[in-house]
Amino acid sequence: MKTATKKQRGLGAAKQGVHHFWAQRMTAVALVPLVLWFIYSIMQVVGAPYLVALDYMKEPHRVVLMVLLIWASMSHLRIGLSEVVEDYVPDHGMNAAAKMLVTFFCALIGVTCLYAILRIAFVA
Amino acid sequence: MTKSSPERPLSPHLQVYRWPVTMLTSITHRFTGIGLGLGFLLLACWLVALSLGEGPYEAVQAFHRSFIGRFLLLGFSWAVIFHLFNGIRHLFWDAGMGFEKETADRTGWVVLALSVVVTLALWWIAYPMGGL
Ligand code: HEM
Repeated sequence: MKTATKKQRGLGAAKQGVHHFWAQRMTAVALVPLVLWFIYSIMQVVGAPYLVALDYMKEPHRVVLMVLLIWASMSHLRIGLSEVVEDYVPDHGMNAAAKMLVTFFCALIGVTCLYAILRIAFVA
Repeated sequence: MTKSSPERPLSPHLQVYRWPVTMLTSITHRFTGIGLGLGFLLLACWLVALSLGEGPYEAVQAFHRSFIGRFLLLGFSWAVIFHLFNGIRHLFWDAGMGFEKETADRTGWVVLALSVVVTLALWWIAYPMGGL
């Protein structure tokens, strides 16, 4: 009989487990102050006219903090969503495809946000 | 063969089973985490619009003021605040603190209640600011 144990024996661990666990905690710790700052900042420009919002977001320290927020969020999101995929998508191929989709999604959102932030800082 | 007597309790009775609050907060953490990922689409749109000019910016602001826009922003803001509070709770657990059943139950209720109260308070402050 081929039990689950027998099937996985010899395959070894997934290898990325500890690394992902730690990266998830590290990004979570970084996100606590960043998200608190983000909530505070957004509250300052709710419904603001265009030029007011633009000047506000152009401020150098806000540009840096926004980049950090996006970066930490997308790293954290990528690991988090991969974990969700790991739990619900048992099929090997589908699992790999779903994780690839997760990675592309996070990269796309992250890079789009970064591009916009830099454009706000230097062009707009 | 003896048939099980009807007086014997059937277990578990799924219909009357009350979800422990720790289970509720756990599933909500996952749910809000996924929701936040989608919520970043809103942030991306806002930033891109702001970088493009007044026209696109006003269009996005108008969407935020619409019924669907407000509904999405309300959900996003609650998701951020819940996930933030419950994430901090998770980090304390990872550090070996607060994982006893009574403590975890109590902090679960605190996080749930606080996330709703803080979200409503922030909207109460923000509402008159931008007609949002
Ligand atoms: C505000 C600061 C944040 C903190 C303190 C935080 C904390 C955490 C922690 C500790 C976990 C692991 C939970 C577990 O092991 O079950 C987690 C999972 C997750 N987080 Fe965050 N997080 C934060 C912000 C965010 C943001 C901004 C996003 C989205 C962009 C996000 C998306 C997720 C997702 C998708 C998961 C996976 C959920 C799961 O596996 O059930 N988090 N978060």
